[in-house]
Amino acid sequence: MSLRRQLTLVSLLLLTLPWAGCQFLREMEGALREGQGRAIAATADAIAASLTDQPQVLYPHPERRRSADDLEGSIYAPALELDPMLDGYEDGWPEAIQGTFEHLDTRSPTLRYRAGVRGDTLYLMLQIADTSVTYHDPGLSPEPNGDRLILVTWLDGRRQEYVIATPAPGSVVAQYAGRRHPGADARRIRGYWQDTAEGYALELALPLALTGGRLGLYAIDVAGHRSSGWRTAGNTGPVDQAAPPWLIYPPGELTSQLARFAAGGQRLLVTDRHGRLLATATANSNNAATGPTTFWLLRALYRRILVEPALTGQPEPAINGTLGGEEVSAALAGHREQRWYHTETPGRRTLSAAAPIRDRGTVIGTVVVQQGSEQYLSLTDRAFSRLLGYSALALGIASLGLLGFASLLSWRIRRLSRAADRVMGNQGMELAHFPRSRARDEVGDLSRSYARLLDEVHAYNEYLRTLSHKLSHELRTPIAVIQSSLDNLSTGEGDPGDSVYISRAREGLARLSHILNAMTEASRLEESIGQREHTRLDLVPLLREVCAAYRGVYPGHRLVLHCPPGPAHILGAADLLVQALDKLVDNAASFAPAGSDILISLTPRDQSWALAVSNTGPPLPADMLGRLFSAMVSLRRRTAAESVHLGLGLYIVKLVADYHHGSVRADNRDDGTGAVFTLVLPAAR
Amino acid sequence: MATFRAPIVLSMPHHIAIVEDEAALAENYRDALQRQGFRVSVHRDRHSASAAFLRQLPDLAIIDVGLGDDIEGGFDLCRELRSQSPELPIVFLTARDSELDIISGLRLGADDYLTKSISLAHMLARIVALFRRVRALRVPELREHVITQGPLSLNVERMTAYWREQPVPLTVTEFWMVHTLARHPGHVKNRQQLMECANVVLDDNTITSHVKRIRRKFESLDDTFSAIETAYGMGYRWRGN
Repeated sequence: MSLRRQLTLVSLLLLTLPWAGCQFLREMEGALREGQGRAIAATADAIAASLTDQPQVLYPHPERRRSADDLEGSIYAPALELDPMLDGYEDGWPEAIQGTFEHLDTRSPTLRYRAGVRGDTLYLMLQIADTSVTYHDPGLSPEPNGDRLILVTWLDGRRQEYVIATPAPGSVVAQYAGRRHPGADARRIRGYWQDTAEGYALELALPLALTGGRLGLYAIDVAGHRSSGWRTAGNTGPVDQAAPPWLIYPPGELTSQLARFAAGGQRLLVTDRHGRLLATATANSNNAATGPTTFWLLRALYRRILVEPALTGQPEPAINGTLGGEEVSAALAGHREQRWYHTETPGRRTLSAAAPIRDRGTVIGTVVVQQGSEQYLSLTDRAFSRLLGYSALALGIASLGLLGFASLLSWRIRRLSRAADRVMGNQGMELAHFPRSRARDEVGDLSRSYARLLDEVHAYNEYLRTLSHKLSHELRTPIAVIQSSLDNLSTGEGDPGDSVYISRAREGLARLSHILNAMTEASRLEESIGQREHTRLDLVPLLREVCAAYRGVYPGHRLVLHCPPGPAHILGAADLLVQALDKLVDNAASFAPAGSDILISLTPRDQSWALAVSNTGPPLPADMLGRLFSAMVSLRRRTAAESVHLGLGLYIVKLVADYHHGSVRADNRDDGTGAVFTLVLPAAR
Repeated sequence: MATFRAPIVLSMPHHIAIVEDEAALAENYRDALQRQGFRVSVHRDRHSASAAFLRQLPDLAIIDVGLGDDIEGGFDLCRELRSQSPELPIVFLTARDSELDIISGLRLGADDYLTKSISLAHMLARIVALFRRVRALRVPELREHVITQGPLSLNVERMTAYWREQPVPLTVTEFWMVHTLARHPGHVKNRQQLMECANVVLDDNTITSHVKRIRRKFESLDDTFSAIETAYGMGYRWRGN
């Protein structure tokens, strides 16, 4: 694997950057959420504090506070958002029936009610199921005598009853039933009577002030005008003389007080001490209009990344107005508490904080402040998309940088290795071209170490190259001493038996001299080569002549010459060429098995003449092909004692080739049966 | 190896000076030469040699090029000697066998340049030949010793060569080589034969440069000289008419 690829792999570690960013965002979101929680809790506390010791705001009727518990059948009238039209139809009312009262035995009549408060007016939507509706018959008596509805209110500690009856469907007005209280005003109770499939519906409106904080109601079903039997259904009865059950409604003052606190997309809720919703105030978010600005896919992505553990949905207020939720329960128990709920919109959440309202130490209600997660979500949305952008940018820059750096690094290393290859290759030591990096890093060090190493190798090679010359020069004098001594000995009057030893010593000396001559041949050729001059010569007769000579020299081999018919002119020195050819043929003869062919061929090769000497024999090792022509390189094993091989023969061939501006190369025959040495010489024009 | 057993009888022994820093070698040469009846004096360095030469010139000087630390001392000594006597035979006998050294030695006026691998017998042959040439130059020329081969005439006794009646300044080695080639025109003499005739052991390159030098010397007299032909891979031959 190349360095570049490795670094690219390593740069994948940069992908932890967005991950770290996501972790940070998560932290940030947590912090934001916590901050929001604190702010909301503070708001809840502030509101609760403002309501502390003002029980009358929550409880306009102090008796209700004093009673231990709400009475059975208390009617809860939440605030209505619109004025219902008094027409007997349920349009404009919430769908849920708030409560049902039945006659215990017959279930007829059954009274289903819905109640609501708008301003100072209490609205009631009553649906009475009655198998047979009997209208009031004014002909029988002025008193209502048909099916009718009784409302029971509480004024100054007394029951005030109103009756609503009609001879026909349509608008109705209440009448007093029984004794009339001074503060009562039956005409202000108006409504509309409508027949329905099940019986009749009655939609009523009455001022809250008439109720005195309590409301009892029951429907009377008469079984025919003549009969005296009638049945009732409701939260109170005709014989009941106690106070009617409570009417629980949002006090106007509380609502207006609460409205002052509403701000910043918060929803404020106040409950009484039973957790019943008394008032709400909602403020529109300031930045609701901005909405999410990020691409939906991104949003979906990071909502998935930043997902929180599953949350429960926010409990809706019960039909009787009771707010669920643990924070409300905790606040009722006297603790401040907050909770997160998810909303119907995926990814959105609501924070709900509840604080107790106290009156002289006792909890009289709770304040609940709710706020959606939009505000910080839009913050984190933006942060996330920026994070994504920035980290993509950083990732890109870092990857490009790393890639570039890796490319640079691998380019430098490759350059170094190429240069080293070139220097060590068959081009010989061209140290001048070796790039000595001036960089102060490790690659520079490597390059300099390489250069030093090559310098040393070069110096060593130089030493080797000149060693033979120096050695032979130094050895010549002692050899001369030995030789002259031997010569003197052979003239003296020594023991005749000594002459054997003298002649052996001479033989050894002759061999030594031969070795010395071989050793100095190359260096002497190097010295003399510059003094030769080029002459125009024809290779064909030269080869013919030389070949004829070689046939005499190498009788054990058959020398075959292939020459072109025409002349082959080159500029060169014939004696040098012959010397090179001597070496090549000698080399071929020493490797070729006895009796085999040694092929000398001359072929034209674009602007040059290729002089090839080819022999059968062992192929050249591939790793030596490039180095064969260097000095002191020899493939021969030391076998023949009489022949001296210092690895200089092919070096001389190379010197001659260089002198002729030609080249020399060694190859194996294509079929692997031997070696071919080719001397390429530029043709003379 | 042939040895020179018969001492050359001389009326008065020739005086040979050997300037050689290698004591053993100098002693060996001295012994060999004394055995031949020469009077030999050995000098170890340039200063003692030149001092001795100022007192009395020898009949022949054998000089080593490198004299101890004086690596070119032999050349300087040769220059001094030549200025003292233009005819004194001077032979360089040295371990330095590069072509450059040979050429500089001969240019300085040495009569021969021998490498130390030469055998004593060969060296003696050279010295005798040199003396013979010196002596022959002093007596009138005798026709019977002259070999004529076309425009070339060789006086074997005086070891002088003439090309178209002009003297060719050949050294003893060169003269013997030309003599070997020209005696049998058309015959190829290989390097070995040339070396034997010249009483010298040389490697192929040195032979080649000798032949080249011989050609140059002839060519300087006659631009059209081409009598010495190279038989590639074999040797050289003299082209007769």
